[in-house]
Amino acid sequence: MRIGVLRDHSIKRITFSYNDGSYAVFADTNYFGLILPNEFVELNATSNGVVKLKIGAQELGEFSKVLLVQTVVNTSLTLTSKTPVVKARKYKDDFEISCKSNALTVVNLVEMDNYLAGVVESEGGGGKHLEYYKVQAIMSRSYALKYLDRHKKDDFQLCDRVHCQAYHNMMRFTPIIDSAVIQTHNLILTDLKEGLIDAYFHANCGGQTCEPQYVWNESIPYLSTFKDTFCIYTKQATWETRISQEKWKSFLVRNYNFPIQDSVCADMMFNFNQNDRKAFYLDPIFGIPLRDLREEFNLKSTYFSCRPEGDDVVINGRGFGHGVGLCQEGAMKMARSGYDFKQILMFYFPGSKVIDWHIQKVLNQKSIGLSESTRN
Amino acid sequence: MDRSKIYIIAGEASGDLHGANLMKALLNESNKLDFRFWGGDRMEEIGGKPVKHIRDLAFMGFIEVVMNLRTIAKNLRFCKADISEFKPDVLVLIDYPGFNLRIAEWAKSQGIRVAYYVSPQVWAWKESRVKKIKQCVDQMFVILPFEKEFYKKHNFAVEYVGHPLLDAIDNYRKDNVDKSSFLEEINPEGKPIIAVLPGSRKQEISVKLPIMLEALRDYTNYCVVVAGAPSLDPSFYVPFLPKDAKIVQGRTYDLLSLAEFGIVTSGTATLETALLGIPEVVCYKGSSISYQIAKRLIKIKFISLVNLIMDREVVTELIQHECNPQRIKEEIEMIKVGGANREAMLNDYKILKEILGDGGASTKVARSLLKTIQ
Repeated sequence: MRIGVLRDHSIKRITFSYNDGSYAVFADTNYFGLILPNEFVELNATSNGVVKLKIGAQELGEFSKVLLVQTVVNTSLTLTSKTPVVKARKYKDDFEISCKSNALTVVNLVEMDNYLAGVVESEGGGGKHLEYYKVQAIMSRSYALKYLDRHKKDDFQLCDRVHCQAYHNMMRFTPIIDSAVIQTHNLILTDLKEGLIDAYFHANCGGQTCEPQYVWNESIPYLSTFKDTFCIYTKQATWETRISQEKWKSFLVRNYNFPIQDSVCADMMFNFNQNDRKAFYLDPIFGIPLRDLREEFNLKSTYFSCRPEGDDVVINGRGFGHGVGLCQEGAMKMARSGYDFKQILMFYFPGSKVIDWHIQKVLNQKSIGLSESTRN
Repeated sequence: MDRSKIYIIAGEASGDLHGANLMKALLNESNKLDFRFWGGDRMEEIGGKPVKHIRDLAFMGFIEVVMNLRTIAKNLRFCKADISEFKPDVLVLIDYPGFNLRIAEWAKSQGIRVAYYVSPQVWAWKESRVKKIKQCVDQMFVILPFEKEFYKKHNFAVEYVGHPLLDAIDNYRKDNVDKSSFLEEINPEGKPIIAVLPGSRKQEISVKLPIMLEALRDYTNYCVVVAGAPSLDPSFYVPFLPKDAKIVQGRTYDLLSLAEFGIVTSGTATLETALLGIPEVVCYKGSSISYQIAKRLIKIKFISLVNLIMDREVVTELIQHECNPQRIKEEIEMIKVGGANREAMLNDYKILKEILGDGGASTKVARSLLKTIQ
């Protein structure tokens, strides 16, 4: 896999220092020795699109591409951006660094399983049940395979941001994640026609998952709304906040011509009850998508009710996140309750199935919607 | 003569139809035109790849197509940059007021000429938007006869060009598509056909289609055919359809032209049905809150365009609690062959056509646009 890392930043200067194992340093066609304990290389971007390379204090010149290649498998380096200053990260396997538009492009050339382990820990955190991590591993693998061409123009496959999948570090603290990745080797989630699905997930659905078309303008057959009781007793299941009535009214009038001149509508403006998830505030006739309110007022979800109190609107909400697909806290509870990964996936993606994509590829000799990079 | 540059924005399926006909009409008048546009498959057939396709723009709504603010903002940014780069001689906005009124405001501030074709339905609701229209739109082309009078009351001169559906239906008739195999496919037994048009949004179809089909349960000597929305998968309809009812997609005009009568959801389909000369019953059923709010905010006497244009009840409108199987059956008895109202309705359709004029909306708009820019 070619994963672009530190993509949130425009990196001008970075060091790669020893973490474990040893790494050979190549720059264009030259070999410059190994990075051993206590050693590091420093790379600087230049305005003419080349990388300035130093090993320790020794300047070695300018090159179009620098490769850092592990000499023993499954080792790692520590990446520390110096300009700008960013918290250090550790990644496994190899690295390729080049320069474009006066900034460094750092690509982690990483084995799929190591990448997935890093993603699962970044997305799911530590301390969870093995079956939950298996679920996350399958979802992440499916996503990665489906979107391998997402950053083709950047000369890598996926990035480390939420834009693709959060990949903040290699897996560091939760060895059970490695087991989850290995035990679900090659397993992916597909629809019934064996096309890779978009396995959306969110922190907490608040008791009911959300229709995708309420969030993203499209209907997805395997993701219709349903009630989920696994997450309703968790910490993020409910929340409350207050917004001034002045701000609330101003937003509705300015953006939607809300008819405050009509006495009945004016009375309705701060009163909303949402037993089942809806797409619009109050009524579709006003054309106020709930996701607009969520974004404007930074609410945790669109699954809220509200009422006036004093000068404020009191908002009682459920869930955290967009609500589509797998509810992470619900899935964690299912895992703790003894459900296995297949049962959890079938619960949250009822129109889907889990298959071994290598076996399927061999047996059927047909494309399953993978990007071009994996077909050959 | 230098080439003229025209930028067109249509944000939904009906706008795509009108936009395509407009582009055709413009090309009939001049071959020195460059287009850049937002639209759908029909406009793509005329003008090549759109800058943005309508499939990326729609979000379900109620009266109008609704986009969320982030999508609007993103599309506005992109659209403004694209228009600035293209430097059109005129920007033509087709319906789609949630987005197009915002673009009109910006374009005006940039000194770009703004033409608006198919006015937002400000005569029905959100009348406060008239002020913005007056400030930002240089040329307004309206398609309903009463809109000119409405805007006159607001001291805004507009051009009434007639309804573009007249052209669409005229073109359909001229194409004279052979319907024999279609008829054989949907109605092998040769029964008279009832066309059911339950709308295009999942929510309205889920509510209305069962009521409509229940009303038709006893009409076993008819062939009942449902017109499916092109945006929905046929599988969506399966749970609603009894085993002998059929569904067609993308052939609504063919279906209507072969039907004895139709049961039609309120909207543009009511006008299309009338212009194709098919008697109809119009149905509306929304949530009771939507209906109550609509009654307060929407200032119109009728819900179907047919009745609005004629300013009297030509087609029966069954609204809310009236929209039930029993009432639908009663109205069917009046409009089917031999029914008491059928002839009167067909005669009224002739008057409707006279009021709407002889079509050519697209040509009128095209000529007027070219006069101002060339």
